[in-house]
Amino acid sequence: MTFIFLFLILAVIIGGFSVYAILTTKKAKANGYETWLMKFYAKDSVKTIISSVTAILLGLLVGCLFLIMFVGSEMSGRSISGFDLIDALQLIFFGGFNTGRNEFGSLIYGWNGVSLGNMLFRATPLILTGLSVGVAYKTGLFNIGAPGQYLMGTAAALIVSLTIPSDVIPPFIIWIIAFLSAIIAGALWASIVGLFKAFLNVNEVITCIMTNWIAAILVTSLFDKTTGPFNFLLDPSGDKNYKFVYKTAHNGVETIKLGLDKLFPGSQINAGIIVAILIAILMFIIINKTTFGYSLKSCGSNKHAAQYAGINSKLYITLSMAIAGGLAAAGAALYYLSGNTEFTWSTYQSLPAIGFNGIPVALLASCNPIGIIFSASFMAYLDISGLQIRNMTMYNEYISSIVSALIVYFSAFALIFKQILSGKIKLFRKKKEDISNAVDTRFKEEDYNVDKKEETDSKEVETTEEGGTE
Amino acid sequence: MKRLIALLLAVICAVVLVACGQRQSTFEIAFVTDIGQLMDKSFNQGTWEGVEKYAKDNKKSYKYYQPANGSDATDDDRYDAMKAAIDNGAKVVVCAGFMQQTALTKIAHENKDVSFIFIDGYPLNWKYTVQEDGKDVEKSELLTNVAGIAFMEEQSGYLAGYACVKEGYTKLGFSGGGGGTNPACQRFGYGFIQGANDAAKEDSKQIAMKYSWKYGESFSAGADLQTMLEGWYSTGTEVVFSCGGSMCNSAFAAAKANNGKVVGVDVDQSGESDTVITSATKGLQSGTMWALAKFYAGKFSEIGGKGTSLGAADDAVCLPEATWSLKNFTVDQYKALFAKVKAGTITIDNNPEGAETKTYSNVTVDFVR
Amino acid sequence: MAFFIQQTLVFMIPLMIVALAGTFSERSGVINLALEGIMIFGAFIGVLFIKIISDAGLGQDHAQLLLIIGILAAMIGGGIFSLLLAVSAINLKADQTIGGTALNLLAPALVMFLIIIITGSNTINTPASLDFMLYRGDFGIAEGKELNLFEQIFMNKVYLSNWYALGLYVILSVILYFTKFGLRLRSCGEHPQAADSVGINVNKMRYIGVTISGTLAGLGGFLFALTAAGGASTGDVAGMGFLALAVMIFGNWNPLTIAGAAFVFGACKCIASGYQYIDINGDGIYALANLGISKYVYMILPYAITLIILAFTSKNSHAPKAEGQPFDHGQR
Repeated sequence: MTFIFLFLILAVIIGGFSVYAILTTKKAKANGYETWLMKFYAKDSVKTIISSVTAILLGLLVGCLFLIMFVGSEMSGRSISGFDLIDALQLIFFGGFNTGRNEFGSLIYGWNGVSLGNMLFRATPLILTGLSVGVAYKTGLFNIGAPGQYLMGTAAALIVSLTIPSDVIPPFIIWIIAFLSAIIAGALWASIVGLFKAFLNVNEVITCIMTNWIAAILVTSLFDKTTGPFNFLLDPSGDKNYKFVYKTAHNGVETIKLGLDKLFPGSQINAGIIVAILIAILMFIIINKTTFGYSLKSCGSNKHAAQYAGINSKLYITLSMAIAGGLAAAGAALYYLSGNTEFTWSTYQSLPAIGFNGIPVALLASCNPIGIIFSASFMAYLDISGLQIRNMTMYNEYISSIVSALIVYFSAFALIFKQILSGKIKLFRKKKEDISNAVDTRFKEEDYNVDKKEETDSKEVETTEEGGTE
Repeated sequence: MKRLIALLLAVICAVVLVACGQRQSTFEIAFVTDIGQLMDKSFNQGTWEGVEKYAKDNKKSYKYYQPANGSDATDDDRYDAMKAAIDNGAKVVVCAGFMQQTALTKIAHENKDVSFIFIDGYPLNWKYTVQEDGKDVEKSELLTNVAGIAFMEEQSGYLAGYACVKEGYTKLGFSGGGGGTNPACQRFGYGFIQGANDAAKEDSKQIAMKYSWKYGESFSAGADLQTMLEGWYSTGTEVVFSCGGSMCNSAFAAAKANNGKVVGVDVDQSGESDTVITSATKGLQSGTMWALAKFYAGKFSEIGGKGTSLGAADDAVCLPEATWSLKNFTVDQYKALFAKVKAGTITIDNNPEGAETKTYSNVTVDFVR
Repeated sequence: MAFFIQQTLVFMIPLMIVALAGTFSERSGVINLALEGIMIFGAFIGVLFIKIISDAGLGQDHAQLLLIIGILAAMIGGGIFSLLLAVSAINLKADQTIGGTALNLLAPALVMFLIIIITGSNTINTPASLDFMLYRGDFGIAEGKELNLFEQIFMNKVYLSNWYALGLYVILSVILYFTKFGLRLRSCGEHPQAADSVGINVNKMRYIGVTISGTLAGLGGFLFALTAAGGASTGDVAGMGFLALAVMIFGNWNPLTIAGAAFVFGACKCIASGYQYIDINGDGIYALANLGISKYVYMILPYAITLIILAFTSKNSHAPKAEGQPFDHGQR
């Protein structure tokens, strides 16, 4: 019931606000002045957020249609009923806040520390792999190699944190050493990709895919039960049976909780999320407020223009990949140093999904580091919702994956939404010229225009430079 | 516009009314899965079918729960899944897989009024420390609400290995799942070697066996696994014991292309491919139903706090007789062998550690690293 | 030797055909990152159709006919699925990377969701009674006859689907390179404005490119399910789609070099998983098994060799110039 009331109140607020907005805007337009709302709306970032939210709502809506489509079909022994549908529809939005059922069997909502804490715990590595993809994207590199960098970070973090004796060096210091060595391992691993790109002009997508699998095999061989040099780190106890590497808690190394476990009782959350957010803010500052960040971006938007401006693009491409690798590895370190997670060493046949999920996380946030915090949390929230749907209804768990895929799909249209919002595209167009004004200006706003203007110039460069520019 | 608002209101009212109604929301029997999918054609599925059949036959409500994060699930995720099951009103929770131990110990300690059936498991102890005379003393308390149900996979493997050799095959293969870290698969494999060894000793033959955990980590079929198995078959291997979930698809394909044969696992897989000569089964379904029946008969205390090993003596392991296809080794001979295993006159070692590298009198194990 | 070649084909043919799929799309100017997703979807549709038809009691005796139906279904399924990418990339001028990533996420989720509803299990299989493989008997070769290498490779233990795929590969490569249509398609990926100025409908061409790409990737996924997964669709193609993407870049967006790249990669993969059983010169000695090198070295081989070759050949690498850029009339 509380849910229904909340929903009604929300609906009334939104409805009232929009009526207010429409009325004031009309009046303001008629009288030729601007209200605060109009000024607010005119901001670009506001439009970005509104269009992103639209994408999310559209994705959820289509996901709901999917739920409705399968009412009545048989799943795990029982057919899906209307009750399941109603529950699932609520859970898909508010699953993280579900606290069980009341005596009538309807869902009740409130502060669910376990769900929300676990959401943030899951979001921690996602924020960092998202940042990894995002930072590389800013430099014009598509880092599909985050899974490999993540694995190298995992191996480094585990080996360092488990081999340094904790009776000699305090665990907190070990934690920091392990965290840093993971970052170094990831950065070195990713710089292979960067070097290949910068000096040999090898497309980064292919090197990323190859290094992913090489990393997976290398890490497996390190921990191999019979031949691996670090097989003494495998947990021999009954319920692990050498399948996992020891939890880092075995050596007393655990991420501190900083009281977050009080706020989210019963969940797996720890201070890792704070570290992740701090790193995201740091990346935001580096990319947007420093010359270094400017150089990185200009390498991405136009390599040749950057070179004219005296920026060593080869150096910056390598550095960008190294940073990306370090970030992905930091995600791995935060995840595995938490003390309650364990690593399955025989991973040579599969790559960690968290690495790949960094791609949609980054793209959903238009590669904005601050946005990535939210998009990663949102993806993690959807996972929790899916879990609740599975636990509380007869639907299966894949519905939440479908919804997140749809949201990513619709987020690709964010640009179109944005143009509709800013009036560049009219929903009901009158003149044909309108379309031509709607130039694609997504990520490489300047680059795209500069590119065209400079085409004649860059052609000259190309003949002297090595081959194609990709 | 007015109409639209009216319509919206009507919909909201309908939702409110429906949402207030009664509904089924508690599930008495809960099943918490191991790593992997619910319907994996072997371990989870076998247990789940037991839960499903018992619940349907006895009109009980039931539901499955899967720990979050798939194969990356932490102990906390497993705990959360069990917690969700209990929050949904579970009276008895069936947990599949030895990896549930840590989570299960914690939740069983906290929920003494709920019974737990630990499939592929053993009795659990809650360990805690108390201060006595200023010293930390470690104590442990047996959790009597957990029933450990294990299976003697080595017996099943033994029967299959024996049958293969008696049928006349001399070049065998074992392709196991779980990368050599899954105790059930390890026991199957070790039993398979021992069975082949004993049969070969009786016939004074020498058996060559390829033994591998390669490409089986994820229990799934794949091109790499298939290529390896094709390599086995094309270099003379006649029968491969494919021990683990969907891996059988690769074994079937490789066998089909090379006129080879396959031994199935867990359940009777002869319906899956005509290359299957027999299957080393274990009674997951019947074992689960047996334990659930104990619970509902009020006799849970008979199995609670104990480890029950179900083997030939309980008819929990066998080669399926209904779909018998071996010719030189008849059903009657099998029955005689089974009786001996059942009576315990044949001793089968059940500690598979290092089975790959041991030496056997009549079997040469070629451990494929 | 026959073992080596046949097993290489298991890896090589899906890689090759999917890499060609990528080429068609990228040559028309649309980055198709969704190859993996389309493969998963195609495999599912192909297997589903074969299952539906044979469950209805039809075609049990005509395995080869069913195979063709499965292939067509997979191709059509892949084509339709790829339209999602085409709509977002061409009509809505959305970022193609995002569109592709979304499809890669959507396909496994959707397929698993549907498989569980349809079969109640996590895989969907072609019926066990159907054997799509052809043996020597089917080609009229007597049982006792010693086979020569050609017969061993082409007339025993073969899936006809592989040869269909190879045929299609050759035909489409010729179309892409030696016909007016192919030239137009490629021009849209190099300089769409120029193509537009000579009256080529760029958007239409791109639609065709993406759709062909989808059909081929769907076919590749089905081939993978049939030959490497024992006829099972599980919502996963083991990263094959991304590898195909790599093979496409490795092969420099050119069908001939793609075939070469796929062969190198496939052969190395075959060595990695079957090195103990490869008899190179036919003397009955398995040389690679006796070297005593760790299995991990062999496993890394395909990826490492690809990187090494790339390091030497990449200077001449040319991606289609306008790939990833939405086309707009207004820009010249």
